[in-house]
Amino acid sequence: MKRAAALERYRELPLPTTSEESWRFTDLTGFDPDAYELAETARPAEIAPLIELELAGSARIDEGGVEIVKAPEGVVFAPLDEKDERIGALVAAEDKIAAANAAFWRHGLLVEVPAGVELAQPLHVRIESTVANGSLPTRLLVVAGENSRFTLIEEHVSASEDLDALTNCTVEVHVGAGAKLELVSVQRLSRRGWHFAHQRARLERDSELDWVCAGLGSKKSKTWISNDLAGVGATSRVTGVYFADDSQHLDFDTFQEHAAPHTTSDFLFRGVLRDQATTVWRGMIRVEEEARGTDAYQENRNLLFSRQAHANSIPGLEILTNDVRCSHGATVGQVDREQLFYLMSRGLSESEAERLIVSGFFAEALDRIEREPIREALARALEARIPQ
Amino acid sequence: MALLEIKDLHVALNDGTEIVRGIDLIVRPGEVHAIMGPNGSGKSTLAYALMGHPSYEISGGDVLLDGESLLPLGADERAQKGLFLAFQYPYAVPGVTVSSFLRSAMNALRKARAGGTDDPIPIPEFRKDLTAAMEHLKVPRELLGRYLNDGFSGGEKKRIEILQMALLRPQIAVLDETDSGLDIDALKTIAGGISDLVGPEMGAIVITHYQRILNYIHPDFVHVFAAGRFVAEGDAELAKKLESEGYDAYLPEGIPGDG
Amino acid sequence: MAKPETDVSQIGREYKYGFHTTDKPTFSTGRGLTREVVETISAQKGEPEWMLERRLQAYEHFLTRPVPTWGGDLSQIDFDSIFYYVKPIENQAGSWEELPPDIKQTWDRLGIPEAEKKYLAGVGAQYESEVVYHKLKEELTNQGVVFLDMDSALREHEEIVREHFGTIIPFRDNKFAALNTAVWSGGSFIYVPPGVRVEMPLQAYFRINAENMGQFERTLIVIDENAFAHYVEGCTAPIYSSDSLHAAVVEIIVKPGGRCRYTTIQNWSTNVYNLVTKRAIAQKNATMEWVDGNLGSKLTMKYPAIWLTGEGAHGEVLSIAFAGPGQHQDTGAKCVHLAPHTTSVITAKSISRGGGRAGYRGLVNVASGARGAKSKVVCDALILDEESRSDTYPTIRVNESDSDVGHEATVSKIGEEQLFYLMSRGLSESEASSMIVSGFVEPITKELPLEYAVEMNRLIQLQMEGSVG
Repeated sequence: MKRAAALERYRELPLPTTSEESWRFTDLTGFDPDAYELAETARPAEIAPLIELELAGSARIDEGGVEIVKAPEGVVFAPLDEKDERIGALVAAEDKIAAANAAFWRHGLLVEVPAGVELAQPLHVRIESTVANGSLPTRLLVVAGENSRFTLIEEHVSASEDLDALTNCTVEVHVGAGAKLELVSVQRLSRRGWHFAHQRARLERDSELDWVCAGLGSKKSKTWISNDLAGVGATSRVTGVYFADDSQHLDFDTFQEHAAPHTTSDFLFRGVLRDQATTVWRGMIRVEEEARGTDAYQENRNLLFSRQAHANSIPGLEILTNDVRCSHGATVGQVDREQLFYLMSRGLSESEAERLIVSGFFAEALDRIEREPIREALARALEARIPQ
Repeated sequence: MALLEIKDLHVALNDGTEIVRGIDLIVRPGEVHAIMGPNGSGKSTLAYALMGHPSYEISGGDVLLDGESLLPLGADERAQKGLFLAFQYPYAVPGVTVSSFLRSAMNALRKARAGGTDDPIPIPEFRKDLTAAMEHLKVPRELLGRYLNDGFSGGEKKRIEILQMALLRPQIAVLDETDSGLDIDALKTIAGGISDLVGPEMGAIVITHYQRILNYIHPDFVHVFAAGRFVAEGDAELAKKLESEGYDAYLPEGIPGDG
Repeated sequence: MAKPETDVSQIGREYKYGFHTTDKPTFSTGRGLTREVVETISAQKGEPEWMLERRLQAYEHFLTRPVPTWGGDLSQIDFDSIFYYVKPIENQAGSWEELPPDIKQTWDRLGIPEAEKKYLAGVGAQYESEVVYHKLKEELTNQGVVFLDMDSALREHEEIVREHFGTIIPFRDNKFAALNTAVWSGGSFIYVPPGVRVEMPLQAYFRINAENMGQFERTLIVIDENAFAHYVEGCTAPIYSSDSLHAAVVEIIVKPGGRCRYTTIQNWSTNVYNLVTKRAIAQKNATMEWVDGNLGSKLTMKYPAIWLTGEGAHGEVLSIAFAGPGQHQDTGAKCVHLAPHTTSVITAKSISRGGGRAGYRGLVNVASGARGAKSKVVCDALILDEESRSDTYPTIRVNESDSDVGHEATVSKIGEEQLFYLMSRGLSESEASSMIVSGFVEPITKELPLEYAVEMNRLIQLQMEGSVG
């Protein structure tokens, strides 16, 4: 969709309300997207890296533009051209948030790894929100050529811990036949801002997507994670971890679309809540009539540390054929007091014991991450959320 | 008088891989044939194929019971004709109790024998047969009210398989690794139960990896099965020899066996 | 029971209740709904003024509420073609013999008088809009148990009715609760005094006979402290080519220590829209159990709810849905934990075949302050062929950290290995399949009174015949 059409769509659509099913538990009252200004220049600051890794390529995006810090060889890793025909192929400007992105985005990155190319080291892009009351709409287009293999880390960060800003990122991922893509999305924005992300991947025949998604920051956010298993034999695995405290509100809306035979998907989300935090996890497995031999799984587990925390879990299945194995599980439970007591009776402080329980709770999810530096960095970031 | 004839039988997986590559065997009433072979030799495939499992394809040959080919028949019809398979890994059917399952199966066979008209077994007769068979096979009564094979131990599952055999009274029974996972007392009871059924009414094929069960069920013939074929045949002495010497001597080159 | 004529071809399965009789009602409001229709119903019944006012308020609200767009497809309901009130006979009968022959024959065919003799403590039989037969065993009357049709209850126990009517399900709850409140007629009223245990079930049987009939019964059950009752309802209707509407409202209050079990065997013909609101309140240490079997209807949207308002209250929902050709069962359950140490268990099983669509839609809500609440939801679905569909839409909201809530669901087909195992013992494919299906729903059928369990298994067998091979 062209910018003009997207802008028109953005203008005609009202802000979603809780009467819409997918917004039922995420109330945008008090949110005025037009109150955040599209800044021209950035106010970059030193931001400590989360993960220390040798990188094949890295880039930064902020209000001022795209900076390719290190260009990888044999791979397109460049500012996204708005004339690229593939833009909008997976995320159309259907809702207000997606329309805003399509209308206003200025800076984006194209990552295109040609057929057969394998990168031993990851690619990294960091999207930095640096201007107070600024709006930063960005876009990523990731194209994994047939039989390519690589890792892409996408990070959303703020220039300061108390920055109030609006970020809206659209990520479209094409995983070509036989390709294997590892995608790591880390959102560690300031806990004062609003964040939205539409992320959708399409998987072709026999491709594999291993997606890790960590939600740590923002005041209120909604992240869509959709997988279209479009080719026979495609496999996707999505591992989500989130930690919400204070009055944070984190919403994850996931969709596993099985459109081809013998496809597999496995979504596992684990979250910890403290204080007055609220989380929403919504998951839908849809198996189309032609998707025989589907194996689909979704799981969401929430651990509550506070009586004021609210966790909403809405798993869902829509199964249109019978040759399937689909299941889901969801739990919401408080931290086990006996477990806590047992650990403390061995001399651990309450926070140490809590940290241990949190790390154990997340371990099953994080163990699915193959690269140790990524796994460890996320584990540290999650544990650090328990106050000393 | 029942007669099972297996003629140059070839069995393949649905992808075409041939697992059983031409075997011949005749089983008469009162006879016990032991089929022995290393793991992975295709013994269970043979058992499943005889019973008509849909995952296996008969790629050649024939199987006849009393001169009539079983190949066009489904598993239910083969059972109704008098073939029985004691599964190595019996499947669980949650929600269906052992006793209601046994009665349904007996009634299905009675209906077939009555030419398609219902001929349900009178409850007192069912109870009497069931009690006798259970006592004989030392099947605890509480199993009757539990769901079929659901959460059963290995030994319980095997006992229930033989209990089914005792009640359904097949003409030819195929016992697939019935001895695996049993302690010696259970093995004795179950093997005794099988031996008691072999006679003018029933012949049996005992498929096993070990000679152990053959101490309690005396085989008339022993067939060594490796790489999809019978590679040696003999009497009970052959089984003992296998026990002491292993299968290596019978394995074609390049085909591993774990002895 | 004599086998009535059935039109098997029309629905793709045998439905033995598809017959109808051509009796002439004594009164009908005709097709369509207007303010005058509401006033006429109230006048016919000689109701107190407050009830007429309530009806009219609800009617106004019904008009303003849009038809829901979630769940099933309700767009084909033609509200103007429905008969909202049909009075089959002048006076309720106290014995089956008093009924007109046509109507009596219907009940005989359904086996109700026979069942009453054998194992029921009381029976109410509703035909179109009115309860035409009602009876309670004398010893229960002597113990103070009240089991009446709702209209009689309003006349004889107005104060209790007025105290509770619409307090658990206000007419503003949803469009169909509003419709029911506006035009309600018939249904059951039960009051069980403190400490009284009604061991044999009380049964109500709902029968639609006329084409385009709308049946809107209203049920109110009050189980007093430490009392118990088991209420069973069954429903059937003839097969017509045009649609009928059943929109009931059921309100239940279980007082401290009481227990209520409410069992439904819904077997409407496949031209009935079944849109029912059911909600119970369980007070301190009370137990509420919904056993909800849905086999019939074109579309059912029904989510029996339990509000656990008292400490230690327990709620349980057992739900089976079977969707055959042309059917959509959008069923489920809701448990709302409002007090400490409340517990709930929801077990839902659904089967879809022949292009049918069965689903579970549910809610578990743990309110802040419901410390120590526990809830467990298990949903399993079997899909028997490629054309059929299964949906699961549970919602879990937890606003209290000191609680444990779990949900699990699986969707699968009949396992080939299981089928082969049973067939290797001589069962045909259809026998083996129906055995697996019966086993699948066994955790729920075992909770039914024996006669219903047998009936349920028979219905499943009928549904399964011709479904394989």
